[in-house]
Amino acid sequence: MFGTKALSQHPTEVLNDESYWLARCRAGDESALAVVISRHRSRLIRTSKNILRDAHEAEDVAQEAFLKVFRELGRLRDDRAFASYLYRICVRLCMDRLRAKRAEPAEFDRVEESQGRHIENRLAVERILSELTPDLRTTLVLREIEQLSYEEVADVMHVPVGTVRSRLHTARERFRKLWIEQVGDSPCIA
Amino acid sequence: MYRVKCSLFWKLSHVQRDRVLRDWERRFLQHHRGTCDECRLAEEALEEGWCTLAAPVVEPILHDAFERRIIEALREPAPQSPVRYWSPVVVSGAVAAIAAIVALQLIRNSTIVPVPGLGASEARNTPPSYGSFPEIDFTSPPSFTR
Repeated sequence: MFGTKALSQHPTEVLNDESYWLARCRAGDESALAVVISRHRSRLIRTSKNILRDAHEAEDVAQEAFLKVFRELGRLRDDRAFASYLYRICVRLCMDRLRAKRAEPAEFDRVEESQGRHIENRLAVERILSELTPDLRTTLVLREIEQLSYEEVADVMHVPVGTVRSRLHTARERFRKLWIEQVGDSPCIA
Repeated sequence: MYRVKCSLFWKLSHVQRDRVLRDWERRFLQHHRGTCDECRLAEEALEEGWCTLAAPVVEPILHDAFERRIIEALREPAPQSPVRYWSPVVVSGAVAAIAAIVALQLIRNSTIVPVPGLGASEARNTPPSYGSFPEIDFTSPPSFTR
């Protein structure tokens, strides 16, 4: 599908234009593929890692998202939508993985005891996230960690804004109750 | 004890993470913190939870193998996706097959299909077996007495 072609010199504004690079990707330019991947991979891996809580799995999902999107690049009508399309695919793949199996905390098991309280909190967060359903967990991560707006979360998860609002409330309530159960001893829990 | 006010307190406490609260909402939170120690302490404890959740896990380790693996995978032909039985192609194929079977059946049994102008007209001209339909007189008012 893709052959090796060399990049030529272009003005900066052209180089910054995503549609220019995507056009070259469609033409089979592998160096353009590398440019597009390097532009988006950090965000994709970070988001996947935040949702899945597993570094290796996050990298796998990000690669799968890139592959899926590049293979369907010919069908993308508006190049400006590429980034959001790629992000959406990545989040959906993460949710598919979560549905297939519950992620377990692995990143924080091998740390020094000097960081005791911080690590305990981390483990508590991991346990809480693993108890949330994929929908609630993804909504919470996209809003609280990725700082997406309600509309952006709705767009990424392909649900109405009202659904995002109610899921977020439910997720926060679950988080609150589980957090207090794990680290606090307040009786003010419904 | 969990009260209605506590429920509203937590609702607003979550909402304030997304937007600026109105005056009455802010005043309510302040007042409730002063009156309900349980909610105040839980809120303080929870703040640590939100901070821990929002803290970056581990920065992604980026290496060239990531890009190389994708590009190498793209050189290979895409794997064939499994057949989806609800796909438009499969559904329209099934409909076409049923239509073909029905057409074949009709052609095979064409001898028993009534010939236009003969069987149908005969049936139309045959008087119904249940007799004539009762006539209703709309000119006089109905009488229910016997």
